[in-house]
Order: sequence, then C-alpha cells, then structure tokens
Amino acid sequence: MRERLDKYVEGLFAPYYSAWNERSFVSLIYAWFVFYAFWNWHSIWLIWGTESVCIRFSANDTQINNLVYALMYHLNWFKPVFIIHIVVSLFSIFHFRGVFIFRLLAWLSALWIYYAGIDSTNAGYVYMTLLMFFCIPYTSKSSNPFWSFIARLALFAARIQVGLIYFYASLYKLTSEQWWNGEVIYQTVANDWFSVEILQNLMLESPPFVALFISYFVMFFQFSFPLTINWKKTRKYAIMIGVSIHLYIGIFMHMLDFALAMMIPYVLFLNSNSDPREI
Amino acid sequence: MKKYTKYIIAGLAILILVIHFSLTALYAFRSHYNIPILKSVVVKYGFPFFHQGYQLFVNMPEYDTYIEVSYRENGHWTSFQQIRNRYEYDLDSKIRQFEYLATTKLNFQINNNDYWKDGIRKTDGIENSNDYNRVIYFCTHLERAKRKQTHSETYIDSIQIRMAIHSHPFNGEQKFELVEFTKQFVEIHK
Repeated sequence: MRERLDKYVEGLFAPYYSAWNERSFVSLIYAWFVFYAFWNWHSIWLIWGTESVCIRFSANDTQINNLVYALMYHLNWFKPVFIIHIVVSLFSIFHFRGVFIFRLLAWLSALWIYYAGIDSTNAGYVYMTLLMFFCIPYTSKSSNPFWSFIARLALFAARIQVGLIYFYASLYKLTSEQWWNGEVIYQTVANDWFSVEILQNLMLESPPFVALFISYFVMFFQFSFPLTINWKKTRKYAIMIGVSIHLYIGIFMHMLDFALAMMIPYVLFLNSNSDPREI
Repeated sequence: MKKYTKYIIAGLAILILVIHFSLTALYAFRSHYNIPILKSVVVKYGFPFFHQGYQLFVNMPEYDTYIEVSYRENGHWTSFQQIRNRYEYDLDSKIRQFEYLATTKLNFQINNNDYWKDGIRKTDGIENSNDYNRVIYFCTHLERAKRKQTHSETYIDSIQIRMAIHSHPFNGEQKFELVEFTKQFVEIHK
C-alpha cells in the first residue's frame, strides 16, 4: 500500500508532456473569449463603454465594489481594457514560457468586463472565467517536478469544476417544482425568446408526458454527469448527450456563446489515456 | 526534490482544493441556508473571483414580454413598435439579453402592482421604480445610438412605452395583454 502511494505521488511530479486534448482544452478556453469579443462585436459597444444603453448598476459604496464595478463607473476605461483583454486572451491561446502572465491578465480583465455588463452576460461567461482561473499556471510541458505537478493539478481542478457545474445545476433543478412536472421544458420551448416557431407549435400540440420525459432526462443527465463523464464506459455517451443538448441550446435557443462554453470542456475528457501518471 | 517534500506539496494541494471547492459550493448555495457568519465568509471568498449562479432555467415564466415604444417626433406620435424591430437586433444579440432581463424585472413590478382605481390599472408606483427607468434609459440610448448611425436629427421631445405580454400557461389558454405607461418628457435631437 505504502509502495503504491509512493509510486503514485512520485508520478505526480514526473516530467509532464501534455496530450493533444489537454493543450487544446486550455487553448480553447481563451479562444472562447476572443470568439466572444468578435461574435458580439456590434452589441458590445452598446452594452459597455461610453455608448452603453444599460443604466448603471448601483452597488454599495465599498472599496471592493468600486474596484469590481469600476468599468461601469468609468465608462471611458472600457475601450482600452477591452482591447487589452482581446490581446492577452489571444496570446493565452498559445503555449510558451511566461504565458501565465497573459493568462492572469486575461482572467482579471474578463472578470472586470463581466461585472460591468452583468445583466447582458450569461452563465457560459461565468463558467469560462471559472475554468480560466485553473488554467493560469498550466504549462504544456515541463521537466521541473514542481511545474509538472502544477500542470496536472490545474487539469485535475478543471475536471472537478466541470463535474460540479452540472451537479450544482441539477441540485437547483431538483428543488424546482417546474422541473418535476415538466413545465419548465414546456415554458422554454413555448417562449418566444428561447425558441423557434416550428418547435413552439410542436410543443403546444404535444401531450404533457413529452415535456415531462425531457425534464426528467435532463435532470438525470446533469445529476449523474460527474460519474458518467469520469467512467470510461459511459464517457462517450455523456459527451454525446451533452453535445446534443448544447447544440440544441446554441441553435434553437439562440445562445451560441453559452453552448460553446459548455461544449469546450468536453475536450478535456476525450483522451483518458493521455497521461498514466495523472492524478 | 525529496520524497517528503513531494508529500507535503501534494497534501497541501489537496487541502487547498478541498477548501476552495467547499467555499465555492457554500457560495453557490448561499440562498439555501441562513448562517450569517458562514455567509459573510463565503461571500468574501466567492465575490468577485469565483462568483457563480445556477438559476438559469430553474424556473421559467409562463409569459413572454416585449417593450413597445412610441416617440413624439416633430410634434407627431409614431405608432408603437417593438424595440427589437425598431433597432434591428437579433435574438442572439447581447442587447436582446439585456432587454429580456429588463422586461422580466418590469413585468415583476406589473404583477406585484395592486394599485387599481375605477377598474383601471394605475402605473404611478411602477413609473418611480428603477425597473421602469432602466427601460426608459435603454430605449432612449438605443435611439441615440441609432441616430448616430443614420445621422438623423429629427427632434424628439417625448417617449411612451408599453409592455406587450404573451401568456402561455402550462395547462391553460394563451392570452395577450398590453400595459401602457404614461408619456414621458425626454429630449433627443441628435
């Protein structure tokens, strides 16, 4: 037992050479922010900055609030911050020595931008900032025992975060009566904002058990996700179902940035045999 | 690196992860318990770096709401128009997301407004709220942004908004309702 543990701990500090999916996962996290900036280019200038159409958010006058919401109180700061954010996010996509400085700046600027436009961003943006944090110290290859360990730790933490997002979301759903009677699926599809006409008509004509079945299926998928994504036998099914659900959200619910944010982390689970010494 | 150093680093890393994920879990579910000391600790940890919320699609309203706007341009009122059509933004636009949130909040005010007089809904209370003023600000600033693009200088001196509500209850009939607010003075000339 002791010998096995020694070997395991030793393996955590062994030279680290990333697998393609691990490198891609980290790159895609930052690429998402570049995509977000250009995909929403037109509306970004109406949400943030001097031309903002959103009334300023009022928070208590504390030092931390004034710092966090600074871009809302100083609208002319947004443009330089946003340009820096795009540049550092772009650099963070690549793996080179010292990239962690760019990744740290990308994370901080992303948070700053988020709080200045909190009413116009969705959970996908938050999810990406949470994963961004773990990717800051990640290095794609290292022979140094400490940095090799940190790279493995960063990916391990990101994997936990991915599982927890689904699990927490399922717990919230389990407390909602609308999910237990299928109403939430009906309302989402019948809603003009999150649907298309053909699906709205289909849902309005469908018997109630259709909405009920989809509702239970989604709750079960999210609740069991931390297990199904980590168990080799069920992993590909978890990814296939997850991709299908998020493609639907991206295409029919008009939330493409959210859908991509939810699908990108699946890359981390695509190649389970990438590093036999991983935690 | 010595063996015991590796054990210490690995142990510390596990401890940090356990603390981090415990605190963020307590932050994510802070509305589900009432222990003030714990709440203040987890809020300090979670905000602003690890903020997260899971309310998205937990409950869905049984209605769709739209803002319709009319302006008094050069002394004449324009017909009411949905702002998405007037300002031509798509359903996947961030502007739409803001509109969704703003209308949801304003609709909450309408639903909780019990002030009726002679069978008529009075909107005075709502018109003093942040939620109503957010919508007015939103519409007037969208109009200003549009003018900048089209170089229009038509003089606008007033605005009126109304909320179109399309209800589609789970086990009931669909219905449409319009809630009209009073005319407001605004000045847009560029």
